[in-house]
Amino acid sequence: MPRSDVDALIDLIGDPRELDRDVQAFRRSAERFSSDRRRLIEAYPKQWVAVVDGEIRATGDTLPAVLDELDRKGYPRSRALVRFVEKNHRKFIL
Amino acid sequence: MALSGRFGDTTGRPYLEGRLVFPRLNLRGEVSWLVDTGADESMLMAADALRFGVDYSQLRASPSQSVGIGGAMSSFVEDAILVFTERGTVAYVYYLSLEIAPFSREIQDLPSLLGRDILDRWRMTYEPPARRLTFDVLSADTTLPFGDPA
Repeated sequence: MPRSDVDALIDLIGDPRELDRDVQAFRRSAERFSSDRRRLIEAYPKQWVAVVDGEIRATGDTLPAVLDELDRKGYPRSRALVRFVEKNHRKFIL
Repeated sequence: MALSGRFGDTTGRPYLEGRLVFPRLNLRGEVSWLVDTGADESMLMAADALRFGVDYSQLRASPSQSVGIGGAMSSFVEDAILVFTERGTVAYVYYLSLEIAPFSREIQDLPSLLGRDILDRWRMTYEPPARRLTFDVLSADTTLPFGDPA
């Protein structure tokens, strides 16, 4: 791939090393949500929860409310794992 | 080395995290994809799309309906770039027209799905008893070793 094309791609996707760090940090947030699932169901049933850098940063009744809280607190949405916490476990058949 | 996925602690569902970029919309961020060999194509769920700041009025309709066990759905489509990294070594880049689901309360807890448009380009090791979920990349549209000078 010509150097100029590589540079253009990196401009679009981000520097690969930083991208990798961001993805790993996001994965830790996903792992935190996963490991805390039972507690989250007790604490936040039928609510939206946002995890950034492994910590819960926002909760709310609606997705827009949680995104707004993330914005107010200055957390980048792109790095937030946001999930709806169902009160009862639902099985996925996909 | 291989891409390293994970299993949900309580659900046991298989996941892989990666970066998603919408060049035309100038949006990018991370997604936790549910690995779904039953999905012909990958699909971004509305919660992730809205988190990214996708403006649905800017999207075009998908040329075909999506059908799942819950029924059929009309969705949207947008050119996207997916990036997955072998930790600390290389980034694999994929270009695709990504399906985007409209918002629906009935499926609001559904994670975004990584389908066979990507999975068919990998060899997957799926071993829940060992909590091992890995993907050997057989092909990618572009490969960026981290050693490439910026």
